[in-house]
Amino acid sequence: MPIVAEKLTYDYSQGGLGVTHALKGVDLTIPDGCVYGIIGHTGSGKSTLVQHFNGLLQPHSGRVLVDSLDASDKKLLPQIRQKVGMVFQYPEYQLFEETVFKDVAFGPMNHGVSGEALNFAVNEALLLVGLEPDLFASKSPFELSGGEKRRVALAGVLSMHPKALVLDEPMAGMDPQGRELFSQLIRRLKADGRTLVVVSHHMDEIAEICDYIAVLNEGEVVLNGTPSAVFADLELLSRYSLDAPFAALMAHKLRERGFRIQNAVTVKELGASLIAELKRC
Amino acid sequence: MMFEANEVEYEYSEHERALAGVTLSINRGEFLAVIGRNGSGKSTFAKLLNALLVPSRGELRVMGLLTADESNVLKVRQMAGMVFQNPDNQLVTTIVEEDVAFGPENLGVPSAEIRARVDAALEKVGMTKYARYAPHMLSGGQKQRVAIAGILAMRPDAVIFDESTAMLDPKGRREVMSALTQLHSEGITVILITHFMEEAAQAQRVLVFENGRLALDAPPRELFKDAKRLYELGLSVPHAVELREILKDAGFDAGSALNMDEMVEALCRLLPKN
Repeated sequence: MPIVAEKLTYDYSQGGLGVTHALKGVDLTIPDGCVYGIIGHTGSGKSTLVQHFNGLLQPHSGRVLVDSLDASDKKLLPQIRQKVGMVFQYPEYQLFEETVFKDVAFGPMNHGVSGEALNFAVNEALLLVGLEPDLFASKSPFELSGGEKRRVALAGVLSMHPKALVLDEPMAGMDPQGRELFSQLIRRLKADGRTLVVVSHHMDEIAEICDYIAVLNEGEVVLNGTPSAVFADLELLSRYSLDAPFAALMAHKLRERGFRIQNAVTVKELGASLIAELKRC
Repeated sequence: MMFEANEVEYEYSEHERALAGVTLSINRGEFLAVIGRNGSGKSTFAKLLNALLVPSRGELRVMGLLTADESNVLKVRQMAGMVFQNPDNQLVTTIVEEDVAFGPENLGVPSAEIRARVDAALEKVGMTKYARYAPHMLSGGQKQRVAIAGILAMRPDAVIFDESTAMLDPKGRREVMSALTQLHSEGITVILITHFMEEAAQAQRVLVFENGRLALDAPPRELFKDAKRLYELGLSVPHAVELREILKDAGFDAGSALNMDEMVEALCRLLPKN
């Protein structure tokens, strides 16, 4: 399910202090079924942009099309919010029910789902995030570890069967194993045909999981493309206060020292190209 | 000795033992990283170091003072300051310099000296220009630097960073890490709790917690030799070590490189010249 932003602008009023132009005419197409990363320094407009993708914010001009539906049409909002699930930063703080089951069931119940269909939706969502329903459904969310709570929060969004998911800093504060399991989950959701939009400050994470990346700076998309295209121009990235992944920086340093090393964005890619070079000796 | 833990145990409730059998000492001026999976006890350990928590059993001393003794608590918090994860909930006033002055004011420092301490602290973290700003006008990295200045104004012997880079963008992370290394170079003891192995690799010594116990205590170069063991503990290794392992499996020895610069040097020796 594609999401398209056309000449999207959004301003925040600062009381007596004037206006901040948070988005200044963003054009962006998120193709169906891909993992799309959005990067940019704090205040570059990432969160403002993604909140338009399920109608939480309304454009001041331009428009957002979700599966060809205009997200500024108030009548279409329920449909759009069902299509695009939004997972905010630290979603575990939003759990509020007595049991995991009730928390995950909350969305579908509000849409009139009940009985077996509800059980099915909850179990399916829990399995998808790697939590065994028999073990977890009757637990209190507060008995769970931080990583498990975050999975429950995600299951609560997945139980609505969204075709697209927006994840804002999904791995912040997670330990390495938690981050690895989460990348696997993202790959599984993609294989399942969902479109994923991931906002992150971690370039290595983004390089690892995304098919495409857009760089936001001062409310504008200044760069977009595949990870290897976006992370190719290190000077440009630093102008936007960003970093490149380890592999891209390292390949660059080796080229500066006169070696012929192909561009790489993940450690595995870099390893493969180094091994090929080393074997030439 | 900056910190001394002797058989320290901590339970949040009867059924929830967060930490047990922790015995170790941390020297003055050390730069120490603490890693471990979520729920391993590392944050509990950090909170014990500045008496936000006191041991359920065992003893913890900060510069010789027992943290369980209530009359030591203020002194302990002055000696060991803590920078938390979320930059948005540790600044309490509406002007940066007032925030930095908050600590020394509470310690009863004379006002002329407070002025001097605030100016020096802000300068140290490169925030002099922002002294009269409202904290909400600052970026995440700048807010964390103000929080660091607030601790420096109390003239601490140690600063504990509890995942202080977790919520920051790349530039903010660089700012905090560079402030941290500077403090260490000036003789302040630095304790860094982190989920990022690249950060841990910069320390002189790394503690690994697992299930509330101290599982490993080693310099990073030694610790990251055994990548398999770290994966078993739910952790990982710095990217340079990951790359080193990939090359090793293919029969190429890149030595003990721990970071990008060392890896570049190792590869310059191995790669064919064009």
